[in-house]
Amino acid sequence: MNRIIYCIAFLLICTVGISQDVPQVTNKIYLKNVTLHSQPGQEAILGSILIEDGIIAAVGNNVFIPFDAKIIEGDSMHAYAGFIAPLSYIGLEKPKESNEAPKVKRSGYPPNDVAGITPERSVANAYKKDEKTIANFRKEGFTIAHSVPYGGMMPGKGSVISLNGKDYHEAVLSKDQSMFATWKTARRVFPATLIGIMSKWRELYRNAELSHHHAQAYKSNPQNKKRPSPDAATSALFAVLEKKMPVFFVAEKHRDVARTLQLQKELNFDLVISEARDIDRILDRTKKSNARVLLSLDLPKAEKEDKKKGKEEKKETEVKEAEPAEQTAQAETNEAPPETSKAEPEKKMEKEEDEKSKQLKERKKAAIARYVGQAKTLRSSDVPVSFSYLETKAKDVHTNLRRMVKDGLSEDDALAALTTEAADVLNISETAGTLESGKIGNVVLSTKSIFDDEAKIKYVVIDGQIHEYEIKEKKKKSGEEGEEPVDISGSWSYTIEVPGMTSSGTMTFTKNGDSYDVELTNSQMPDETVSVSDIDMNGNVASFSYSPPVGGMNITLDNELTFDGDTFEGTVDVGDFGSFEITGQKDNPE
Amino acid sequence: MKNIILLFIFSFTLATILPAQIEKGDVLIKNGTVITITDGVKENSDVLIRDGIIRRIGKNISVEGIHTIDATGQFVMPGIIDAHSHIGIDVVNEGTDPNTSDVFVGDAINPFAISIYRALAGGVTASHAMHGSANAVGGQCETIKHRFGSIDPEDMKMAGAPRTIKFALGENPMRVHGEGRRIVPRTRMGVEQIFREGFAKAQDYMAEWDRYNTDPDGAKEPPKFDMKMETMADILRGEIIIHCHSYRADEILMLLDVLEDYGVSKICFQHVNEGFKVAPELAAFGASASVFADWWAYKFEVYYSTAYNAAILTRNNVVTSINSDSGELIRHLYHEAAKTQRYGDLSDNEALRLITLNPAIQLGIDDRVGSLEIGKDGDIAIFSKHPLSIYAVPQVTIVDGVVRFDINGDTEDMRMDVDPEAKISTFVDHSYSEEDRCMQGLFEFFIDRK
Repeated sequence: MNRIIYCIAFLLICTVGISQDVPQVTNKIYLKNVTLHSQPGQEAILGSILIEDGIIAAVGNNVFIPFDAKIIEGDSMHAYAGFIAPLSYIGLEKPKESNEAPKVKRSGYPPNDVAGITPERSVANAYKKDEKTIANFRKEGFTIAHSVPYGGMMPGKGSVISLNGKDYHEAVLSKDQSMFATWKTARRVFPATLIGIMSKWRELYRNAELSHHHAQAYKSNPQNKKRPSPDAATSALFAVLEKKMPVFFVAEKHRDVARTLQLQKELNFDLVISEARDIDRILDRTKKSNARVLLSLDLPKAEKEDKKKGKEEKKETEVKEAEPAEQTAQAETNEAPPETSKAEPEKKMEKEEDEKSKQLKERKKAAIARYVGQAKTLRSSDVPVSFSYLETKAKDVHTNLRRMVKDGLSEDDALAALTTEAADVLNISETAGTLESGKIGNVVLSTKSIFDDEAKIKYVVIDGQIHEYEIKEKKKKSGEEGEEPVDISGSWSYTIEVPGMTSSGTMTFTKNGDSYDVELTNSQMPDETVSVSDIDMNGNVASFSYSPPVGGMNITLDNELTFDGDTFEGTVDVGDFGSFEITGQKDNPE
Repeated sequence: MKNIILLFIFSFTLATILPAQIEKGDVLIKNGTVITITDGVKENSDVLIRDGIIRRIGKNISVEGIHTIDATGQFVMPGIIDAHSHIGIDVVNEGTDPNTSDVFVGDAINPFAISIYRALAGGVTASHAMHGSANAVGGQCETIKHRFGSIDPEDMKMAGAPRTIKFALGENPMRVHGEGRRIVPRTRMGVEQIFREGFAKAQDYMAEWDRYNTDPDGAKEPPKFDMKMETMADILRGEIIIHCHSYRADEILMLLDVLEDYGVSKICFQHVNEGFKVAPELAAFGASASVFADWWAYKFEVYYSTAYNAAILTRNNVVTSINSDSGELIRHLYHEAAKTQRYGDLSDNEALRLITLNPAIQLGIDDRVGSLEIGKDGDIAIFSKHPLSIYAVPQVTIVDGVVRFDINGDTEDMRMDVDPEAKISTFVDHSYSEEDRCMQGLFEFFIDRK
């Protein structure tokens, strides 16, 4: 008897935890009473969706319920067409970067794979159905992704895959649909610079054209002609020059975009500018090229104003406290100088310094706003917008998209970027991107509008297969986002990047009730140790301040560290000296 | 088949020749001392620029409704030209091979580089953005106009300027490749062989293509298209001016011999510290020289030098210019030119020619810039005093009739591009910077010498 109970309990755990692995009993799913956002620009209505055999059979407010359908109570949840990632590394394992110089005979003439030129590779051979990115993106509502291989300047061909987590042949919608290209240089071999990449593109393309020409001539009349013998890379480019395969070219910054457009203008391939973060100042040329644009969702961090203000105030009081001590020290060494004459120029200098850093902050703020506003700006110039997800973590997708919407991107445009425009870029509009009968049964159900900060995705249906997600209640105690506090105890090595030098040492965190104590050492002062007890812990963010023993100077270092697994990154704020990047990693990761 | 080749070449040239609409301006400069370089000095004179071109030079020119600059008591000269710099580009060296003639720094232009603005603040309106000296044959260079404020990298290029390429002799290529990688060239003899090999192979390459092109649809498979050989062939065809980093007299003569053997005539020697020893030979060959005013002894091959170099070369009828090769020196090339009066007694006009018309000749753009003449580009620098005076301060710098620098509009933060992710710091970094330098980007090659 006990055994049966265990079995049932085990089954239950399975359904909650990894529901997708349990086959559904029925081939019909009925999503009842949902708020239908069938496509961007169309008003939402209350209705239902019937999915049969993985295809949307009916959508609307009067849909028949078959007797054998599995009914999901929508309770007015918001239903969207499954989201589509038009460019990503989803389903691929990130290769480890090696710092070692490749062993080649002549660094000017490395083999293609060492140079990063592997256009013949297909993502089909790198796809892993168990890769965690599939589940992570699916959880955020993504149902289809265009995945491309990792690599150098020309990593290979991408496939459009369903995020159903199945073997490649069952997941793939379209094999080898695109060519992928980046501005990533080779290490210490040609092309080690972007000018090398430009030159290599021209040479590869030109040779492919010549080879293609000869192959065509041979095809029409092989007699008396040398048999064509293009190498793998050259023949892989044939589809690109026949314009059967667009090039998805990563071009983040303004100059990358300009260079990519220059290549496209010279060589004339179909172009999708990808992962763009700074393209608004070169829109005319972009439009002229007929290139599609995929913006990065990787937005610069907003300046944390409130927190900073608090810190500054705190600092001021500290300075005030310190002043009397300094003055007494002066009085001891010198005859007390007339206070005004000394203090005035110093104050003036400080004021100028403040004014300068204020101006710098203003410009930085404007730059951040410009980056966040890219999608909005492109839409106002009638450039269609979708996104690419090479550098964006799944969990940040909706947060960043909401930031764009708050900044003025219309909800319709934002939804289109996730659905219809993404489908258009991949040429799959016939089967995906909207909630219409006949399309693939990919649906997202969200507790609120996806642009609402409180929205949680409850169901993701892919190919008619239901994936259900537990909605966690917010925990009051831990971080703002309701994140579980992470365990950071142990020894960590850190590095602070200061212009012209790096400062490094160790931090040892030990648990102290709900918080931690930390002990710091620095390689420049090996004999000194600084301890801070009861640091602020907010979710995975630790903040603490300390004053290192630097020859009697009163310097406070404000640390804010964000932990992610065995690494952390963050900033160290050193008052007027500025703020520096700090990174760290666990010394003995499990 | 020819069509494909033509189409390719055509699309390539079209892309380089027809950039986006370049901004051109109208401006009237009143009542200055106008130093024309080619037609003497004109007191109390005016210069009228319309649509980016100098239209009139003379007295009492008046035009209604045009931006007018009062240059009373000031000196108006042609915009300064720097025949050797590395500003405004994101990449200087592709140091992976002793011959990288296939790369092109014009692909790496950074219109936001603040060094372009700083150069403008020194009256410099055009510069020769060069590949570095890591390789015996470096990359192709780009003549840029300092249109700071333009956003498209293509707008920085001086469209129609002749193609140029960087060569390098001596210690730099020997160090990077011989010492760094244990390959040729480890000696000056090796450097010579890189050129000879490059030209000889290019001749074979041209012949191979000629054979193929007689019957492109025939039995033969087309030869491999090789960007390096294409460029070397274009040098042989006389379509590219060589600018060669050089110091010692013996290797300068060596290169002249190589060029003579392969029938190449367009050559400007850069740095050429021992140029004074071989000035007559340079003049006889028709080679020009672009030198430092008084910069030497920074490595062994640069010990035998003199500040009289520019004057000696000039007196021997070698077209000579003074260059910066530095983001700092470029801001006061007029001081550098003035040094030739202390060391060599050059006249005012001879000294100023070193930073105006002569570099323009060396870059093949003297029909458009380098002097104040009707029909030339409206590129002008205005100084508070005579530009060869140590008290002179640049006031206004104009490119194509557009004011790109005005001392009265010079605010603290002239950046065009702000990184939203860079940390803000008022901390000044005084550590060594290799930016805008000849050997930029090569540090990595010296770390790993297994």
